[in-house]
Amino acid sequence: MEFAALLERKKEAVVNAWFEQVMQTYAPDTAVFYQNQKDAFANPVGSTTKQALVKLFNALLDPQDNESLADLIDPLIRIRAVQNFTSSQAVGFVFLLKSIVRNLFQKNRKKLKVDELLEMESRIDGLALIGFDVFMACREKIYSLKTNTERDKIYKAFARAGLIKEVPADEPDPKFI
Amino acid sequence: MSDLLKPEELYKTDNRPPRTDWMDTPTEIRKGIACYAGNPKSLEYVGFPNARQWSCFDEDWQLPENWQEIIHEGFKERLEKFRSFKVFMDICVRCGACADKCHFFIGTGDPKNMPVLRAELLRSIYRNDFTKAGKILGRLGGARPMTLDVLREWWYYMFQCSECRRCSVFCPYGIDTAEITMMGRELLNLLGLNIDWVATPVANCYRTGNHLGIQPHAFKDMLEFFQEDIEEITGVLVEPQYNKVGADILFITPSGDVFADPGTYTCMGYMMLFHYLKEKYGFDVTWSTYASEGGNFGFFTSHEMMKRLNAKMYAEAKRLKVKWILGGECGHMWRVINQYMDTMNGPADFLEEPVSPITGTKFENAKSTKMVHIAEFTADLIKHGKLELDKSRNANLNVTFHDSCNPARGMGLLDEPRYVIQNVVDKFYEMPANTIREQTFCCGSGSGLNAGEDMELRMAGGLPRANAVKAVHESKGVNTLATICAIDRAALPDLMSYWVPEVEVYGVHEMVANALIMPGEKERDTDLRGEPLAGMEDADE
Amino acid sequence: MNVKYMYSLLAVIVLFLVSYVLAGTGTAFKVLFGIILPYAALLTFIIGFISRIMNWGRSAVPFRITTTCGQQKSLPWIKPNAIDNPFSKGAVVVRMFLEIVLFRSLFRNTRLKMKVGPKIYYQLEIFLWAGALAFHYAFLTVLLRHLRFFTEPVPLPVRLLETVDSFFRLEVLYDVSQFGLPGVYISGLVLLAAVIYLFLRRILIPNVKYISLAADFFPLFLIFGIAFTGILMRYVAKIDVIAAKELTMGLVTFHPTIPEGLASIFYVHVFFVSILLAYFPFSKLMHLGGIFFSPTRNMPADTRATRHINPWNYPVHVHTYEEYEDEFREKMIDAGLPVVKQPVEAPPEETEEKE
Repeated sequence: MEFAALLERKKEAVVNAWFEQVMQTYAPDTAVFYQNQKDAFANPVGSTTKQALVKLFNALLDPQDNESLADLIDPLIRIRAVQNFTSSQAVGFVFLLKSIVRNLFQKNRKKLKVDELLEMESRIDGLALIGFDVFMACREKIYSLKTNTERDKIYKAFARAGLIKEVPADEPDPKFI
Repeated sequence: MSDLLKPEELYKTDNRPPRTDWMDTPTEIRKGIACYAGNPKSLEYVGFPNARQWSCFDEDWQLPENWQEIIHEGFKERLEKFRSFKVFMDICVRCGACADKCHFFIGTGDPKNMPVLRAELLRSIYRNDFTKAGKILGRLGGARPMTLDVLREWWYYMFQCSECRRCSVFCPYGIDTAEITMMGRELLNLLGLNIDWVATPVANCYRTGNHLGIQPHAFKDMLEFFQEDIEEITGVLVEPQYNKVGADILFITPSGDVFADPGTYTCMGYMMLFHYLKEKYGFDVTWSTYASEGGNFGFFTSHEMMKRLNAKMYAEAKRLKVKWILGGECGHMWRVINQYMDTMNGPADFLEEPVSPITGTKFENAKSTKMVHIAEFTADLIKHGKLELDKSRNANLNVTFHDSCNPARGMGLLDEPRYVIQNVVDKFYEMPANTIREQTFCCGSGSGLNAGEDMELRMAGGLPRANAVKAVHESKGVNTLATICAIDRAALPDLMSYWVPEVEVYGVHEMVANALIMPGEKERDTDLRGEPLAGMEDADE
Repeated sequence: MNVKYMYSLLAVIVLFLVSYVLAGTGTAFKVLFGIILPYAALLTFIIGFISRIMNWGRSAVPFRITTTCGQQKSLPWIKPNAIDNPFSKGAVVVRMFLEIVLFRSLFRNTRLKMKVGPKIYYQLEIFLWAGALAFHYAFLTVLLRHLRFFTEPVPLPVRLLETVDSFFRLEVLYDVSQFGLPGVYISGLVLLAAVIYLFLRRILIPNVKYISLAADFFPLFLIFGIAFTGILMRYVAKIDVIAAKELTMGLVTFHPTIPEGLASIFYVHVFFVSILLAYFPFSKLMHLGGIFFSPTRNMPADTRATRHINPWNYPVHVHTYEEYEDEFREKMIDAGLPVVKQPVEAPPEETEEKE
């Protein structure tokens, strides 16, 4: 019997357990709301998280290139990057899957090869690293939005004071003609 | 295998606060959520008390000696002056209907962003100071004394509410957290506690007439730039009038439209519409450099400051001897005009009941305040076939409409902008029903929170809105988010660039102007943003 | 263990025991629980209620801050939402009526969730509206039904209400129980069930639990106590109804008496009701009166058509046009903007250019 096949069969339970644990990273009253409100528009955090976890787990079973993994983890990390989390908390949810997978392995270990578990765990590690890249990209986006706000303020102030002479867009500098 | 470290032992993934009651959970003021303190010069300029250099991240807030007394007296005064405040302090039964309606709660997950708790922050002090039950029962009755921690909590959470009123729609008693936040902010202002993104626009607005401190000549300069741009795009020279005594109508719009992209394109839209109406029907409208701000950040400060800033509108209308006032696309500006202006600064008996000089339509609903919303005005023009429009020039736009909080829940201006949009673009799709009209989600940056330093708060608070946009972007290919609010136009581009980067933000009158066939115009090959029109992609070069 | 509800529960249990034991000890306490406290409680209720209302009434309504939940009345060809964005007083009355009688805003809460799917959470949310409605109407019915203890002869509407209230249950239970029970009032059972629901909701839904105060549990336990003792008296303890009415009629006619043979449980019931009455004006239960005063609901949204008067509107400092022009006149002239006053001579000293 193959571990991958087992995971495939237990997919729903594994993802639900993972989702449950990810939700436990929020305050309890918030977590219940995120878990139970099924309307995606009344509850973008819960629904996005759930969807992303389902897709990520599928991607772990059926390995994909880093770019598509990044696309899959993006919506979830994007949310966690603006919430009250440290960097490790924002990304660390990926590792929560490890103990779930391990438990499942333990229960059926007689029929399974350790290699397969290690393989799965490595994939999870890889996903976490991709998650970290995405997290950094999100944070950089936030900082660039922040600096743009500041830059615009200063630039506009200079412009208003008539201190800026812009290079005309449609004609090249005469000396290059 | 059992001796392996468990992953959750390696990483502290559990972010849950200790399971303490909210009253026992101290507030940690976080960067990315909190805004910077107001510049003391700005506070002093408008005569606010206790102006000083301070920072919310400091231990010592340099409060006046008797700050508790100031809060207590201020609280008492406001309970007498505002029945809303007193009743809302008393009648909440904590049923929890509002709890999950707040975009800041949904996005940040912070339990104190549930509207009921935001209000309880003040109610707990109210019970302690002003009710017998609170005095006798203390903590059991939900009361607690005013301490420095409470004050920090107030400051943190009163500036995590955008006064959008969504909770009020769902409350069985109509309790409006916006009212409570307004009172909370008034009280904080008594101690000189304000954020700079509110305080400085207020001072600027008071002095120069607009948020940015644009002086009169610079205001005109800006509009002249737009004239040049418009001429380049359409071949038509529009000529706005300024401070013209005896004009028929005074036009006031938020200054954000004059200086910040993409609001500037909306401003160009107004200028083109007015020019069109002038050429065709002799429409006589003037801009004012004195009342050059429709938005009113005083509203986010105190009722008195709101009145002081708003006073300019009627004063200028009176001085210029116009018949009535036309107002541009703006959110809270319209709540102020619709629900406060006439009461504060009226009666406007020197003006006439507004009648469209072009269609003859009487704006009965504005007969006392004498100020008409441009979406009402334009919808009426279109209905009467007074505008020549070419929808195909907006063919690249796949539009959805974001109802701004204040026009939606403080006015009910829902169908007018939709009518206008549907007459100038072909492709229009609504977002899901529980995210539009009276249930619309805030942009997350209203009520003066559209600063830079609180970007995380803005992104999290705007998530429910962005999420709905994303849905129509993915299902219908929507690439344009239309709004009728200047703060939206300033804040939503940031929000979109974080959550749904493929969507651009437009004002409604920008789209109107794109479609409007101006008398004597050349064949246009770009829209107002200089982007090639549909089918014109190769026209250039 | 949740301290908040434990204190409230404890308080109600203590009140129960104290009144139960003391009412059994002799006439003196029966007079206290049956006559003195009810009068005192009623007086507290009336004075307290009125003074709270007057207190609200004393506060000004400076602005018309209606929450609009639908299309405004503007152009004649745009259909306004007359109820949710009321333009006239009549429409406000309809809006308030629906709010008070059907808890419309609370219902708005549930409607969208129903569409989504038959998940438990949605049903719970519907239950908030349904539970609240059941609770309030059951309470009202019980209250009106009790008028038969305070009137002689019992007016027809009250008797009709009793018949309706006991109609269905009577037939259903008759076959099953065969106890020859007096007609079972459905309202009492609904009240009890609704109170239990509202309590469970407060301790089972985490965010509702988080926002609940001790003061939210106390009235629930108290009302539970009232309903429970009432049901006990009627179906189990079967107290002497004639004697009970003698006492209540005594109270109404201001000739209070303590009839023989009334069980202690009756005094507990009356004691609980007295506490509820006395507690009422000082608590959130005042939402009964408050809802009529809610400024976001009880005013028309016609502020642009009819001027609202603020009683304390006071003059404020305004930056006048003249001050503005004085500061910027030179620049305005340079820019070709019209000015009212021409500069008298050579330009006065440059106005400081701040920031």
